[in-house]
Amino acid sequence: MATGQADALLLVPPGAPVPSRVGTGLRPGFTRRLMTTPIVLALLLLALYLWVQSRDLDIVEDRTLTQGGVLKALAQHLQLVGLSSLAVLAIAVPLGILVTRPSFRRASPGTIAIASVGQTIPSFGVIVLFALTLGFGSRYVIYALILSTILPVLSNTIAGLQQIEPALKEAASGVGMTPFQVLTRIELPLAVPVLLAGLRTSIVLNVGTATVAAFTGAGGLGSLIVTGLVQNRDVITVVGGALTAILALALDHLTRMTQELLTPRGL
Amino acid sequence: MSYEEYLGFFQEDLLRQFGDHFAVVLLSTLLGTIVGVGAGILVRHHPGGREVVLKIAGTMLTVPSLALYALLIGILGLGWPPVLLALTAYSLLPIIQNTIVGLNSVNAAVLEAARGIGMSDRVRLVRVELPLAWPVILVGIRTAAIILVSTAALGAVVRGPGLGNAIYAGLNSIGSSVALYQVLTGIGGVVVVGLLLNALFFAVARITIPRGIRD
Amino acid sequence: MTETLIRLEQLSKTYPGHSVPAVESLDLSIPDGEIVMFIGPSGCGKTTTMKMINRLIEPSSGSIVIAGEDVTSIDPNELRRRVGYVIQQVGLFPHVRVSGNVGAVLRLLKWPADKIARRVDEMLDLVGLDPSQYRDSYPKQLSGGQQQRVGVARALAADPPVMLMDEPFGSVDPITRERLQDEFLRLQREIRKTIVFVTHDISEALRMGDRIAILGERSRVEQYDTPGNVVARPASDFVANFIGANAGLRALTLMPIDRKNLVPAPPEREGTRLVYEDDRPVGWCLAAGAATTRIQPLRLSAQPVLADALNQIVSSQAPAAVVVDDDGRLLGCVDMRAVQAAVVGAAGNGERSDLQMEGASGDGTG
Repeated sequence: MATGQADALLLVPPGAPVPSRVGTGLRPGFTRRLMTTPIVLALLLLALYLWVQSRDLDIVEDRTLTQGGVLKALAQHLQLVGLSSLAVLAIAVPLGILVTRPSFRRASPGTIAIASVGQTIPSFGVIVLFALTLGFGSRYVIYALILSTILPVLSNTIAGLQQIEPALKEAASGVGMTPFQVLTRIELPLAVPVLLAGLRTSIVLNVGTATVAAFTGAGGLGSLIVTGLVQNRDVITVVGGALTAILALALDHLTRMTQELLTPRGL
Repeated sequence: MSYEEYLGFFQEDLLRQFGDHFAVVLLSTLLGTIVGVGAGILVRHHPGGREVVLKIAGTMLTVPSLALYALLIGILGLGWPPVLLALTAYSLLPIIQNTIVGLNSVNAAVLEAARGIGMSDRVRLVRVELPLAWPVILVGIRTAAIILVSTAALGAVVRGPGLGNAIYAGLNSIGSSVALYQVLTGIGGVVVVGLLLNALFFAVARITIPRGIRD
Repeated sequence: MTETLIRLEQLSKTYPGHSVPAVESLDLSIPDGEIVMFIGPSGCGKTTTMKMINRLIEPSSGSIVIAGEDVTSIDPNELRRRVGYVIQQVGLFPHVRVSGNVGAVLRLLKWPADKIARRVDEMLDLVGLDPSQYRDSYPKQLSGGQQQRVGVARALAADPPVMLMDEPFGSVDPITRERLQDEFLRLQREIRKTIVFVTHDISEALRMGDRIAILGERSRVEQYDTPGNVVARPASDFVANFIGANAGLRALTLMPIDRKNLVPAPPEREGTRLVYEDDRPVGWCLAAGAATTRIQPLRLSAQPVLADALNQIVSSQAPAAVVVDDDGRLLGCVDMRAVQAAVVGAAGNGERSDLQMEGASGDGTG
C-alpha cells in the first residue's frame, strides 16, 4: 500500500491536483454488513413495543411511556450526544494534529501518563461535578460530555498520524507539496480509519454517559431509567435501558459503516 | 465544614466504598478472566467461532452501563449482582481478543518442537502455549480492569457497591456543604483505585512472567 | 552387515486437494548406528518423508517399522518421545531455562526430579556446554550455535535409538556450522545413534553421511549409497548434476591420507628444499636465498584428508604437503602425483577406506 501510493505521487508533476483517496469504500459483502444490524435492531424494537403493549400498564407507566414522551427523551439524548460529539471532533482532531507536528515531539511521555490516569476518571463523577459547580441543564452536561469522551478520539488521532511511514511524507514533500497539502492529502486520509475507530468508541461512550444527564435535568433516555428506578416500575426501567442500548448499537453501526466507506481502498 | 472534618466524619463509609469498589472490579475481572480465557482457548482455531464470540463480547461492551444495569435489575434485583454481572460482561472483549491473539502468535518453531518431543495437545497448551501467551493475555486483563474501574461508579445508581455512592450522595445532597467534597472524593478515590490496580498488575507481571520472555 | 533399524515400506503421502503425491511409495532401509542424509532439490519431499518417521505428518499409506515394531498406528506422542527431533530454528522453549528445555522429554516420561537434573548435566557436558554455567540460562541469552547444542542435548536426553534432524545447522554462520558438524561427528562416534539427517547442502551430506539418499520428485530414490560411490559412480544424470561440477575435488574431501599415500621428502631441486628446525619440518625454502615459507604440517593422528594436502600444496606453492607425527617429526609427504592418482582411482574405486561394505550394491534395500 505505502509503496503504491508513493509511486503514484512520483508520477505527478508539482501543482497538479492529487486524488487524496485511492478509491474508497465498497468491499465485498458490504450490503450484507450494512443491513444486518439495522434489521436486527428493528426487530428488537418491534419486540420491545409488543412486550410493552402486552402488559397492563398502570397510571405511572402509562403516563411515562407515551409515544411523545419517549420520542422527546430520544431527541434530547440525540441532541446531547450529537452536539458533544461534534465538539469533540472539532477539538480533538486539531489538537491531535498539533501534538504530532515535529515541533511538539517532546510532549509524548507525559501525555501517555496523563492519558492513563484520565481513562479511570468516572464520567458519572464529571457530570455531577459540573452540575454542582457550574449548574444544571444541558449546556453544562455537554461540557462534561466533551471532557469525558474526548480521550479516545484524541489518542486515536495521534496514533493514526504517528503510524504513517515517514518515507511517505518525505516522498510527498519531495514532489513539491506544502506541509498543509501533505497533511490534508496524505496524512489525514491515511489516519481516517484509526480516527473513526476512536470516534466510534467515543460516541458509544457518549451515549452511555449521556444517560447520567437525566440526574442533572438535561433529560434524555436516562430519565426513563431514573423514573423507573425511583418509581420502582421495572417496565419503565427496561424500556429506558433497552432503548439506550439500541441507540448505542445503532450509532456504533452507523459509524462503523462510515469508517468502512471512508477507508482508502488500499488499506 | 472543612475537608479534613468531612473526611473524619465519613471515614468509615468512604473506606468501605473504597474497599467495595476495589473488590467488585477485582472480582468481575477474575470472573471475566475465567470465562474469557476459556472462550479464547476454545475458539482460537475456528474462524467462525471466533467471529461469533468476538461479536457477542463486542456488542455487550457497546451497551451503555446504566442501560445494562437497568436491564439486569429485572432478573437480578438491585445491589451487587447486576453490577457484578454487567462488569464481567464488559471485561470479556479485551480478554478474549488478547487470549486469541496471544495464543495464535506463539512461535511456530517452538510449537513444532513441542509436538516433536511428544507433547500431547493438552500438555502443549498448558506448558507451552499459555505460558508464552500469558504476557499478552495479561495486558488484555489489565485493559479490562481499567475499563471496569470507571464503569463501576455508575453502579451506585442501582444500589451497587463502590465509590459511585459518594458521587451519588453528593448529587443528592446538593446545597449542603459536603456535596462537593463527596463528588470530588468519589472521583479521586476512583482514580486511586485505578492507580493501585495498575501497580497490582505491574507486580503480577513481574512475578508471573519468566525472565526468559520478559522484554 | 549392519542391521536395519528403520524400514520405510511403500510410504506415501498425498495432501488433500492435491492430485500429485508429495511422497510416492518410498522404500528405504536405514541401518542401525548410521547417519543417513536425505538430500534433494526443494520440494522433493525429503522433509515430509523424515517427518513421517515420527508421524508429525501422518502417512497416507505404507508403514514405518522401527526395531521390528510397526509404529504406523501406535500413539504418535508415545512414538515421538522415543525419537529425538532437532529442527533448524531449534524451537527452544523461551520461557524455560536450559535445564528445563533439556529435561523436557524426561519430564513427559515422568522421571524423578533428581534423575532429570543429573541427566541434564550429563547431556550439557556431552554437547560441550559447561552445566554450571549454562543450566540456569534462558535461551535468549545464548548464541545461535549454543542454542542448537541445547536442541541436540534435548533430543538426546531420553537416549532415543533414532534421531531426526532437519537442517539443524542451517541457521548459523559457516564457521560455526563447520564446528558444530565436527563436534557432532565426534559425538556420533561415541553414541552411535541411528540418524536421519535432512540437508540441502551437498558438502554437508558428503561430510556427515555414512550413506546418502538422493531424492528426486515425489521422494523417488535416485541413489542410496555411500558418499564415495555417489561421487564416483553417480547412478544417473540427475545425481551427477546434483553433485555438481566439482565431483573430483569433492572426492578428495572424502579420502583420508593413508601411510601408503606418503612418499619421502623430495630432495633439493633448483633451490627448493624442505626446511627443518630441531629435526622437525617447519616450512619450505622456495628459491635459493629466499626466506622460509612456513607451513602447518598435517598431523596424521588428526585424520587429514587429501583435500587438506592439496590445499597445503596450493597455498604454500610447495611441491608437496608435509605429514608429521604427534611429535612433529616427518612421516612423509604427499605430492601432486599422489593426489592425482587418488582422483583417478576414485573414478574406479570410490570406497571410503574405513567402511567395510560387503556386497555393497548401492541401493540400500535389505
